Amino acid sequence: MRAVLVAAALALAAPAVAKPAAATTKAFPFPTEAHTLPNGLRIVFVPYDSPGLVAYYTLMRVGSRNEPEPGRSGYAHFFEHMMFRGTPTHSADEYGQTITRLGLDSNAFTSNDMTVYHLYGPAKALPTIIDYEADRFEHLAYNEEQFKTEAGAILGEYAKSASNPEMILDEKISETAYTKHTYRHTTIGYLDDVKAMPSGFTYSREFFRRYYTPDNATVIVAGDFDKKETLAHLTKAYGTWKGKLDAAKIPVEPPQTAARTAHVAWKSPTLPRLYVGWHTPGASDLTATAVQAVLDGYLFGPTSVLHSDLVLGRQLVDNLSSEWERARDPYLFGVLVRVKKASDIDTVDEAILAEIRKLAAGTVDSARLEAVRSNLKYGAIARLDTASRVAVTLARTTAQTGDLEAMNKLYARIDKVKPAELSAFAKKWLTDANRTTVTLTTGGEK
Amino acid sequence: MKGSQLSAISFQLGLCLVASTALASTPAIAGGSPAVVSLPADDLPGVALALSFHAGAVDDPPGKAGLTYLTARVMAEGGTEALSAKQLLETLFPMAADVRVRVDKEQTTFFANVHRDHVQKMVAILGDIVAHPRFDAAEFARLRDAAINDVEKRLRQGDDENLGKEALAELMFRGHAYGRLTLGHASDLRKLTLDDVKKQAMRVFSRDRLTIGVAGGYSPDVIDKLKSAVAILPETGAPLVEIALQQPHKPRVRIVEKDGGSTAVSIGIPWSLTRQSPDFAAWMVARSAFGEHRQMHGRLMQRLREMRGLNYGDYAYIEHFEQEGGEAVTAQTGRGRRQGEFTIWLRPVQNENALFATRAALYELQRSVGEEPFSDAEVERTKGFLDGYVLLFAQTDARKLGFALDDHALGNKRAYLENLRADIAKVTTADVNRVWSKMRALIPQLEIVMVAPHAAELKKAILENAPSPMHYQKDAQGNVPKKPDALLAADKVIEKLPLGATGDADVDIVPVGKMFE
Repeated sequence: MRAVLVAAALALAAPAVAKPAAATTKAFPFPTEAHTLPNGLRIVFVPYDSPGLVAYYTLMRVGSRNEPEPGRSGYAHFFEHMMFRGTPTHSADEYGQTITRLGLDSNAFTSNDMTVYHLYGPAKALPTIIDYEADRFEHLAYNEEQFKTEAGAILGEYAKSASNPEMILDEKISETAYTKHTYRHTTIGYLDDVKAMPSGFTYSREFFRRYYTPDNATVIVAGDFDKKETLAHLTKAYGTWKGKLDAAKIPVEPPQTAARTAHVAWKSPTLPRLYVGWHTPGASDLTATAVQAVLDGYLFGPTSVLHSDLVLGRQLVDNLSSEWERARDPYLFGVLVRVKKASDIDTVDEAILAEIRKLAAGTVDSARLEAVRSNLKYGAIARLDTASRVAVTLARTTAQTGDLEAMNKLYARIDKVKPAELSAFAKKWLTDANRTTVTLTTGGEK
Repeated sequence: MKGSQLSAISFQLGLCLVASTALASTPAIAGGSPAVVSLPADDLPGVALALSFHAGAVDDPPGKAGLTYLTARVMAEGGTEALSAKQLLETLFPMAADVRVRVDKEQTTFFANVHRDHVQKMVAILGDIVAHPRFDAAEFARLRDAAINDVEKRLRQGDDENLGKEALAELMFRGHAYGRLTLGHASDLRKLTLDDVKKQAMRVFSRDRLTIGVAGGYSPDVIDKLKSAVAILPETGAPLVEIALQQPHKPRVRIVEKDGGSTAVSIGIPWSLTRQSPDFAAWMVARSAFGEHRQMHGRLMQRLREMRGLNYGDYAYIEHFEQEGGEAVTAQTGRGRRQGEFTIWLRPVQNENALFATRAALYELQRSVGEEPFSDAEVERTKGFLDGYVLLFAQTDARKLGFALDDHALGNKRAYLENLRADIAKVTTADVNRVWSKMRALIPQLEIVMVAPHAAELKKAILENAPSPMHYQKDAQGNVPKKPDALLAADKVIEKLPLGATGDADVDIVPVGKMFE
């Protein structure tokens, strides 16, 4: 009942929209205001001119990276689903009905390094959102029957993509490139582990205890809201949340010393796939991250030499897509190619390696480097056009290092990347011994 | 250093105010040939440009399914007289912009969202793409290959959910102008020539079929420049295709036979409901309460996924819907159609539960027009949801423009989005149950597509009305979750629910290799 009274009182306050104070040259151009509660919870405000709308994001720095135990792949994602299964105060039904009645678009997603819960909709719903979200993060309570039923939905989520060969290809790439680190498995998890999920109730509670702690969480509020009232409300609602992050140790991946290859024989007709990737530094290495952000477009983008040659010119390739993302730990930089004929896989592979050798030898097209820089900047602006996209961008860019300024630092560093740095990076990391090549063809033909 | 300067300029502009979330930005509409739909210019950094033609897959000649789609792609990606395909990419890439094309049954829209730093360059490119396409032979060959692979390899083999939906669309609209896959049929695509493409462009991308759309932070000369760019297009094109009102027909069930561990299910029926119907808002509330897309509150989602763990999601639609990535869920634009449809989408279920899930969806439909009509609480909650959710439909100028273009394309006298929240607010529980009660007559005529293995066995089970018990997922000890008695009792009814298929002709089987051939 207390929660409802607080909600009603705050709803009377007129929303105030803070406009950005002054021009800035930052990639994330909106001023942010961060607070940390005594229990470690971080709160971030991003006033944004979206009258009547507010985006509420909770970033938990936990993902499939945090699944070191054998047989438990997919639990971070499974847990994301369980977060909607209610508390002693608000049952799952009541939570759902309240969120629905308020007109909120509500969902969540999980990846290697993060689990993000989001609600987006009318600003007047904010007080209720705060009460309900604080309650479920502190007091989540589900029973074994609910847990087992939800496991069926996870199996369904696996099934919805199972006909796509790239899902199995992803599994093969991860387990070939990694021998120890948890990036060895995908976020959805192995099918056998997903099928075994109904037996994992106790483990799921342990997962909650380890990772769903205030010091591992960041609440981001973006859009139309009053900072002072919202901070007071958040402080009260989340103040009782206790617990300290008790992260399981993540095995360190030893350096790769020889090239690795693997192949997937797919049952039904499909275009052959070729993946080529290399182990590279993670997001904590700012220079390496900026260089990879540039090389991503430079080597594999629509104006790259490879695209011009293989897609437009010789037309051996249906599609070429870069496979890189900022990651908390050392990750993979690579390219996924849909080749038209299996007999051309070797030719395409060789073209990719030749382009890497050229770069490592010091040949850099500086005009194209500038074009990539320009693309990254205008792309970033275009992605910040709603309160929700502002909040999710901040969550996604903060998740790896925990630094709210990560996006600004990255783009500032991208601005300074020199041609010689691209070559040096290629020479150091994009080597034969550090490479993983995975192919997929129908029935194993080649 | 050049890069630093660029950074300073672009990010400052990025700071400008964002679009107002008001749903109403009354568009200015200028008739003529071409017509122009423009939202008032604002101070935003982005500009949305669109050239929308009243043309689409319905214009594909017999034996040339996919021609309009391929023509539009060759125009959008294959270069212009001034720029080769490669040069086009090199020009667009630094702007982080691209010209995209959306081809639907009756609408083809070339559109670009661009930072206003580059709007003049983009206006010239967009104009050239439509008025001076390169029609390059190598690009034609590449894009025809891509279209064939998309049908043969992706849709038939690697994307069961969309396979089910598109198979249902062809089943529902068999013999109708909507009856062939927009992407094309593989054997037709193989025969298409560059000459076909050039002729189709002249036939359907004419000024009388064109509407220019502009929104965002544009300068006043943009509209005139686009108008003069398209002045070279033929004044008139081929006559518009008649869109007859499609009637439902048999078979009741089509099984698209394909190996796999799960079954994709799509259910639907053609109908005449449009956004201009006075009952549209009531239908929308009913639809949301029954099966809102990717939200938890609909009955289908609650009962199939939440209570039984059957699959990932279960939704219902009262107009054509296509799943796209990102936030496109809330902005279904560029797909204005004069012929409507009602559909249900069950995301893949384990094969052993395929029949049960299909029956469960029909069971919930029957209950919703029988012993369990929508309650006041359900309707109030759903109205509350839509009141907020609809705000998200038009957050950017590009989306507002899309809705305004659709209104114009369909000849809507009354702006759809502008009035939607007010219309929803007026809906009563009685309205919801009154409109939804029409479903009673439709249920026996619904057409069902299942993408499943072992089609002959499945067909036999359907025709014999064999029971299909619910299989709950087991733990390592073989135990299933304990369920309330009421749910288990409902399971017993559902497992025997007649599917409405009795004679051999009620269920047909199509091997997946024959789909879209």
